[in-house]
Amino acid sequence: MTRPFLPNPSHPQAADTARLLTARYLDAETTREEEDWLLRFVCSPAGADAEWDGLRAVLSFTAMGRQAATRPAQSRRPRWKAAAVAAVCVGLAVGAGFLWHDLRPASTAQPDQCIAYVGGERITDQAEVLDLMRESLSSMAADEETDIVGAQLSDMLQTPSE
Amino acid sequence: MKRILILLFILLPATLAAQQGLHIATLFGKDSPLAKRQDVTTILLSGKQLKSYNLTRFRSVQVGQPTAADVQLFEKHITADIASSKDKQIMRRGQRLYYVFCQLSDLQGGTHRYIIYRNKGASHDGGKDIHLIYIEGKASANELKSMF
Repeated sequence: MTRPFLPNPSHPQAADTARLLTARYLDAETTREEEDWLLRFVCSPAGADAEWDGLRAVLSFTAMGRQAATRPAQSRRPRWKAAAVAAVCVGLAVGAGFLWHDLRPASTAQPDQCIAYVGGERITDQAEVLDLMRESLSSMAADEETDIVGAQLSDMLQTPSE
Repeated sequence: MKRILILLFILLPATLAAQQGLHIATLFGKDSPLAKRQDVTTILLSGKQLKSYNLTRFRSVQVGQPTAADVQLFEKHITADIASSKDKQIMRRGQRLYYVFCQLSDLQGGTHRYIIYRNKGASHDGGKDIHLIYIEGKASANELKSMF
């Protein structure tokens, strides 16, 4: 199908072109460029005649619908995505902070502390506290070795003395 | 589904950090309800004093006259802390924990953590005290046991 030449809307023969394009528009055979030309024509002084009132209303309505269909697409991006990206960045920053804290050398993470409380009494003498520590470890072993071995033998032999 | 995954990813760092705290920590220190009792000995050591032992932190609390509530409190905290550990020795006498030697997951930097517990009141030899030790350091479990 040959496309008509589209004159300037103010050209004397523009009205004939407009009638031809109107028929094709109603058959949905016009291109976007031809529809735009029609809209310019009906909005120009040459198209102010009452003959074009119906076409003007249809083209205006279509133009408005086209605007409504295109504009929201740009803002249709979910806002939650932007919020989620920001939250992920915050989470990564917080995680990096905890990781840095954990990766610090142990000597800088453990301040010197040497205190014992015996019966409510506070002891800070280093030698005394270390003695208490060694005693604490020793007392744990003495019972472990005798009681555990004894218990295991007792279980195995089912010693009536229990 | 995508939103749930993103939310979980955000919460991950906070979750990891929370696991550093132990339940037994409340049993040590001057702020512990046990600290001022006449039958309790608490030892708090950290830093350069422990360097020769290849340790960085030592905590011990020994209760000479524990009540049933004391024992239950200790067992509750210890059980919670050792639950996820795969390397542990546990002995029970009836319903009571008698002995625990547990290696917890390492801290960042390869620092080992250990919980050692004994309830002498649950032994056959008599005695009553309960004794809990928490240790951090580079010493292995065998090195630690050699210190006993």
